[in-house]
Amino acid sequence: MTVEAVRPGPVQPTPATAEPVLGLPVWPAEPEPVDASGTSYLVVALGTAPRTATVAADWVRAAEGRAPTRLVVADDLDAGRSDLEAALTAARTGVRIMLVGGQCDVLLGLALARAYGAGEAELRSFAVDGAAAAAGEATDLPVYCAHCRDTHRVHAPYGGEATCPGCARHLEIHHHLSASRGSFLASDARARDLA
Amino acid sequence: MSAPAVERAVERYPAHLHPAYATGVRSLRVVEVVRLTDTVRHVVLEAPDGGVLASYEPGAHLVVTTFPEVLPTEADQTEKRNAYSLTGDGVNPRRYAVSVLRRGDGGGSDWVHDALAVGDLVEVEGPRSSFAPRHDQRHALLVAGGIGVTPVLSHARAVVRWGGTCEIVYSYRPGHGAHLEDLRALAARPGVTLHEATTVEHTARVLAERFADQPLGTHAYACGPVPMLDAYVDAAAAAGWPEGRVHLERFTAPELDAGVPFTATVASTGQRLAVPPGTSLLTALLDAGHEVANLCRQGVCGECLVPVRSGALEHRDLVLSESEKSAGDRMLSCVSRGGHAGAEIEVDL
Repeated sequence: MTVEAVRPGPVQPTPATAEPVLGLPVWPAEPEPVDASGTSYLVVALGTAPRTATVAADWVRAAEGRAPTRLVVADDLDAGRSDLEAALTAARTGVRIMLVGGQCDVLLGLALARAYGAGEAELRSFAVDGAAAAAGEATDLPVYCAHCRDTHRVHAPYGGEATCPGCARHLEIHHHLSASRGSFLASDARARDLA
Repeated sequence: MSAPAVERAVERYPAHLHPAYATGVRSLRVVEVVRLTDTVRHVVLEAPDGGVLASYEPGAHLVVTTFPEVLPTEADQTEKRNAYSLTGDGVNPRRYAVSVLRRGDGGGSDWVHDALAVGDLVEVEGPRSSFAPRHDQRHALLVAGGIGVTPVLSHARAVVRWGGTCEIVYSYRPGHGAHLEDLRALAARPGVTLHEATTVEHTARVLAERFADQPLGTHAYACGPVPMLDAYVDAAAAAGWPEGRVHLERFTAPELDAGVPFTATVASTGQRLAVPPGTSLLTALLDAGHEVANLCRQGVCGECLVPVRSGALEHRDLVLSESEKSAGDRMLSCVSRGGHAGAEIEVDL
């Protein structure tokens, strides 16, 4: 039996050859279609990647024809946080929230939506760099440092090592994504070394 | 303390020691009986020693042993167990209160109306939670129809106690609005609003309007007659609510036909039981000496769930979700049957 410890959004069966690693996000290979049962839509495009703009445009086009649709666009989550919070506060149950962008922003955006009460059936997401990350490449990851207890944007592969931008410790980024924090747990990679 | 003393204590008190953990069969005393409307009686119970009673989740019910004149099943039975929703918020109660509608069919509710008086001891079991608030509830939409107001009142009181927010929709016939004053008093508090509706059309309109305007993270709960619950589910779907946010409790089950004959095999013994139309699997199992817990016998309470190993099933209950039904590994033995005439099923008992 396959157990997914953490899912960033509703998961479609991907043509993955190996078992998914527990604790890592499972991204759909292609953006999922708009959920037709929604009575309003909130499309969130985060980041400047060209793919982000096209996916968001496709979603908006499909959603607009069905129900009132709101679009929030920002260069990253921090820049768009107040707009997104305003949209989440105004949203009524029956809304479907769709986020697209780099996975660092998308994961943190999903966590923000959950904090405002959104459930998994109301969330869809697509990470434009999800396939690259799954292939083992370094991408921007949201990393929670267990030592300085802050969340940082870190460029590294899943399970990789990096220097903490907050406390300068050498971190190991664990296969441990928290859905509510929207970040990977990281801790001192040399904690067991004596020197 | 010596070891034998500890063993004796464990023997005498098998679980928690404090009486406020007791949920087994026990007697409580009637301390108050209030007539709420022509057909609804409010009964308040206390422990005979006046002690603290077990806390319960909002929406929980108490199982009361009643002695009706007309019994639905075996003639040699003289008592029936009825489940009544508790109306309090459930926190450290010293009293349990239920409100009972007279059904007028000579059943357990008539006994509560005709025979029960202050000072009587009644046998109860529970409380049991079957309609609890969801833990990720940010706001609640509570919908009550008629006597279905009892669990809704419990939910509303709990929301007020814990400082949450809710909207209540109460659909009642004028003159038959039990607990209407209680709800109006709650609605005077900040964060609680009450919408009253007295006709079917008005109820449908209010439901459509309220479902369309609830904040993100709202859960909806409803209890009432079947047509109102159908309207409630339809209104939720029309407003785009995911299934997981829409909860309901039924207190009446639709009439069911006698069903098809089928054969049940008991996995542990290999015994084969023929179940003819008009007889439930539950009755067949009980007759064959298998102890199966049961309560409502109409597919509402979920007590008589039995695991199933194989065979086609026809689910006729109101308890299992669609995914649980399609899994085919369990059934409610009181109403659900083999999937077709002559079906063979294997129950894991």
